Amino acid sequence: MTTHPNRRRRLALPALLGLGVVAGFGLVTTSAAWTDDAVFTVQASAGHVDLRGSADGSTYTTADDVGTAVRLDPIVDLTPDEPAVRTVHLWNAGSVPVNLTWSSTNPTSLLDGCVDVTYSTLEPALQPGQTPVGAAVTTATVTFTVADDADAATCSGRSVSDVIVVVQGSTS
Amino acid sequence: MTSTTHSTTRRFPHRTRALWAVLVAAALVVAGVGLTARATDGTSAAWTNDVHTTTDVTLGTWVDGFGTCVVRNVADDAIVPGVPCKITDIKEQNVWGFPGGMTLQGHAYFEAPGIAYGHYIAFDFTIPPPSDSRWSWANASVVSANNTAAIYSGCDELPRVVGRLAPNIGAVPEVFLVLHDTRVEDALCQ
Repeated sequence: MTTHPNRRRRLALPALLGLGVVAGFGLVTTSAAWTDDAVFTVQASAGHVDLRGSADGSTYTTADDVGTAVRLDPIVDLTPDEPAVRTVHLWNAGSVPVNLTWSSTNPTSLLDGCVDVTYSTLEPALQPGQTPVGAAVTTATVTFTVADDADAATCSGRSVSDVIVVVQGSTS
Repeated sequence: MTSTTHSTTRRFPHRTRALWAVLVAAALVVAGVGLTARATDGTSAAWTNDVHTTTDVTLGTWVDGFGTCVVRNVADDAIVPGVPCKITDIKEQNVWGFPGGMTLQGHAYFEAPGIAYGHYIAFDFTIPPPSDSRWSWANASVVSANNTAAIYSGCDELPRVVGRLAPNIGAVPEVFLVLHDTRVEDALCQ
């Protein structure tokens, strides 16, 4: 009835190996449970992210870089009494929801401080859709305002071309 | 003696195996964690997509500050203490015609909280440059002004305009001005 010491040692080896395997997978599972991205990635490996933009809400383009950027109506005759607002329409043409954020490189000031640029709050999670309707689309606005301390003598009549504003779509 | 020797020679392989088992288990743990980390990192970069937009921005022309105004008593023209006055905006409404026959229309807006019966607003402001660069102030004149505004300044002083509004027209009145780029006989400016 007494267990032989050698038999106990022989049992210890597979037990320890099994423990290692369980611990290894256990850590992976735990990590996945704590990090939504990892779990999500595995499930959506066949999906894709495709955020598109439009100036008019009907013609959408990928606008992936500066060369293919959506051209918004130019702002002319901006004066202190009247801000100018430009709207970009966004469509999640991919297969997974995306979170929208303004790029940190977007300007908050133009023309040496003559113009302030502010941005609207973006949709937290834009749903995917095969057509640009309903929950698959949203709008974002950029507001251009003559700065409170803009000096007329130095700011009046100035202009700047090709101001780039980027909206980022991300699954994280 | 024999038994002791036997026992010693058999214990050593067991320790080796145990050591291997620990090493294998540790390797599995490291591999599992590494796999998870790689999967997460690789995903993060692949799952983003940006939309770029572009536009041009051109500023209009304006002047700093629109001028000054004060609230006065009709009875003695004295400034009413404690009643502030501010010119909130001067806006061009329209400009048309050809040099020598151009017309300019615009509004000046006032704000005088606390203004009361028997008070009026006296003003001194400068009209911003018109949007049509062909406009010239050299021979310009004020043709008309609503709200019974009186103009005291001379036509030669344009674009500066000094005058007053009629009394009892509220705390946020405005004056609508019409100007020509030529001197007219019945001009409101002197």
